[in-house]
Amino acid sequence: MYTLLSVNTDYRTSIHYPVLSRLAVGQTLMVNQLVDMEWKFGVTVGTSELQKTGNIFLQLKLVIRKGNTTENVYMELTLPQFYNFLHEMERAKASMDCFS
Amino acid sequence: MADADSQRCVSALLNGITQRLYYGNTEITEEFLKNELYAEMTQGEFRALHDKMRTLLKSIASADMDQAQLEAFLTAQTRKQGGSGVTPEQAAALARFWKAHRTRVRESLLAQSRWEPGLRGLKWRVDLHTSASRGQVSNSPVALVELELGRAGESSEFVCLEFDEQKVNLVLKKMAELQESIDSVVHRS
Repeated sequence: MYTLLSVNTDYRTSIHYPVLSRLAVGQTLMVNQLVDMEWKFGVTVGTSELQKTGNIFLQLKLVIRKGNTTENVYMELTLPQFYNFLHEMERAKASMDCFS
Repeated sequence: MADADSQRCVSALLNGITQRLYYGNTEITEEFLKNELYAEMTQGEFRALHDKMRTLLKSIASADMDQAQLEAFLTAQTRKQGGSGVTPEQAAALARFWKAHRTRVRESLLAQSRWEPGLRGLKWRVDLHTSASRGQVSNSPVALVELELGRAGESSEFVCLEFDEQKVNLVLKKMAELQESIDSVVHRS
């Protein structure tokens, strides 16, 4: 069991309550560890419902460790979602740099 | 007056079809539309009208028609013989409707073409481990990241991940590679 000194650099970033409840009840606080990240990027040129799209697609695969096995989490991002993800990871890194 | 009412009903019918087809509002059924808009019509007549409007809307949406294309398309439809075409009032209603809804319908179709869950939200916090029941604690910071994932029309799933500094750097490196790829395509186009 970890005793955590939590450094919230942003008062809004409290972890979603149901997630913490599921993790914490009767268990040591354990969070999935990221093993690897893969990505795919391209342009969707057409679909069955829309003849011409020209829409950028971004697919991410996160390989995460759950106990003794790994699991893949897939997501497809719009460009704004990707840039938001990147921005938040950079902010988290900046926060970590203060204490490393 | 009768023409204006007729156009209003066609507009409302188009709106109802769009709600169901593109905006995910499955409560707007064919029966509901008939009862609300064309109560006096026979079932067969309404079905024919509904299917015609639906087919036309799908053709227009699939081609993402601009003003010129739409005008040419609707002109051709009004010239069709034998009841398979559209009346001038119906054509006017279609033109007005598409002008108002084109962007939103296109966005909906693009969203429907994304089959994996999207990233709806992200939260993080950085922790410093000060002690542990087992083993040494490095006193290095750890980032906890909660990803909110979900497909259109479905509820969210939450994935919580732990990153040490090495893993954060790995993710940022991969994202930088991805960004380079994006930039190369965007600047080429």
